[in-house]
Amino acid sequence: MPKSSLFLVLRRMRAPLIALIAIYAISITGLVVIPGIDAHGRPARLDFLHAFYFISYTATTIGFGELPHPFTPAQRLWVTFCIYLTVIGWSFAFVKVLALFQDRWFLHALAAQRFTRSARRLPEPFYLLCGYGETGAILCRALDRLGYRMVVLDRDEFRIAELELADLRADVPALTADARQPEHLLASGMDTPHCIGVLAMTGDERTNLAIAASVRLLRPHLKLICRAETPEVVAEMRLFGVEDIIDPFETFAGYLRLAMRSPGSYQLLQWLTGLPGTSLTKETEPPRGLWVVHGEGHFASVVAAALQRGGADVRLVGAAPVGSGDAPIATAPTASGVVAGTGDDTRNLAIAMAARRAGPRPFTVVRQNRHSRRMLFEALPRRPGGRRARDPGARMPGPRVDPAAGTLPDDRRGT
Amino acid sequence: MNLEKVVFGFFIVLAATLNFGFFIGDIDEPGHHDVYMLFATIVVNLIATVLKFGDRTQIGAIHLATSLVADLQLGAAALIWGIAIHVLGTGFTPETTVTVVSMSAGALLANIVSVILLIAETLMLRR
Repeated sequence: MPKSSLFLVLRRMRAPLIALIAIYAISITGLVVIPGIDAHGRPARLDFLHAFYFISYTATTIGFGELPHPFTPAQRLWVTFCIYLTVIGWSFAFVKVLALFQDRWFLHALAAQRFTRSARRLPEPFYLLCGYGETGAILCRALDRLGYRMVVLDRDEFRIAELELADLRADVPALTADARQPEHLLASGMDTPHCIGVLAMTGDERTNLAIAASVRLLRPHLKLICRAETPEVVAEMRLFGVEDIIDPFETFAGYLRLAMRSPGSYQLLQWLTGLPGTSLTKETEPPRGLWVVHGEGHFASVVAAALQRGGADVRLVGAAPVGSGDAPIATAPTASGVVAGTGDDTRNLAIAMAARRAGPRPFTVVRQNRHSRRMLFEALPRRPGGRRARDPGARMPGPRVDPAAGTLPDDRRGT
Repeated sequence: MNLEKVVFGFFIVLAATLNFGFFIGDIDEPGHHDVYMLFATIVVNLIATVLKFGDRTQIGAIHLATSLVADLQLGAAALIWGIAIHVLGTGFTPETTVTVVSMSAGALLANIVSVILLIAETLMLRR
């Protein structure tokens, strides 16, 4: 048993152990003091050895009987009392032990210690992955295929439970812990020479920033890849000297632009950065012309800017419902491309469906926010020859592209 | 005043005093050493040991170590006594008494160390 858990067990067991010692002491003293008689009727007291022997087998309900001589009524009276006393003592201790092993804190302490031991003693180079979200899961599988070892931290115990079920080649030590705390990073072996990099891939960019700060201050030269979405956080990460910052929206927009301007380069990039085991297929070039971008916020503005630079005529439609005034634009026969980029998956699906019904099918980009709705996005009808693109790469609320004529970006750089 | 500290100090000092009470007297004179006293010493020492469980500090570790030493020595003393009387049947002879009392003297030393630690701890708190 790990050290501090052992201390916790000892600490919690103080009361029942003292109770047991006291009960044994009282019982033994009583047996020694109360006079008895031997087989010939002569007075004979129990000595300490026999009293201890008797109480030991009586308290544990083994019950060898009245030894060494049959007891007198006075002794029997005392023994009756002792039996109940010792049973209470043992039950108390037993209940305490059971409660201890049900204790969440205790179980977590045990798990944390097991994790720390296995993480810090990994005999091979490993990456420390913070955040086993959808991005983390994909990265984890990819790195595992490439033969890297990993150590995973995530705040959500359900995600950790999912990792345990993931079909990975190597054993991956994982812990439910807040990666913002530097001690959790150290417990994961960040300061050991075998740690070759930290991947801050949680869904919360402030957490990623905190991880970046800890890594840069505690191990300045360690490889560090962080995920960030807003320009402010990106700027702060740069202050900490993080070179590899992944902005999923920017990355996606960059790929889209590259695919428009130079499809060949895009395909080459896909080939070079793809997940192990994916084959290169023919990509459909995103058309120029009128693009309708649905959505608001960072994603829509980044994608619109990229499309513009790629040579498209962009119309940004806000968060207006599909059925209202702006809807005709979405289904306008002139639109050559539609981006369903709102933060709402159901609406994105609705926009995609609406786009399909409009005359010549436009090139459609659909953003999938939640991994759990994956099957709906996969079920979107596709144009013959179009393919469902690869998994949404290294981003969690990632854009999924195109049921109609798909390209899907991938930003797994540096791994 | 903290009740837990009172109980802690009480058992540590009581363990030392009972141990001393058993030890005092001629080392080879069976009449000077009472079996009830030894029993009480063992019980109080065990309780003192359990009270010291779960303290991860350096001084806590030494505390626990001294108590474990005392338990070991007193347990050995009781065992020798029991074997001499019941297994070998030699009775409580002066030779046995010398061994038992020597064992309890070792335990007494450990208990004194424990008391000194207690005092040192208290003095450190004062500052």
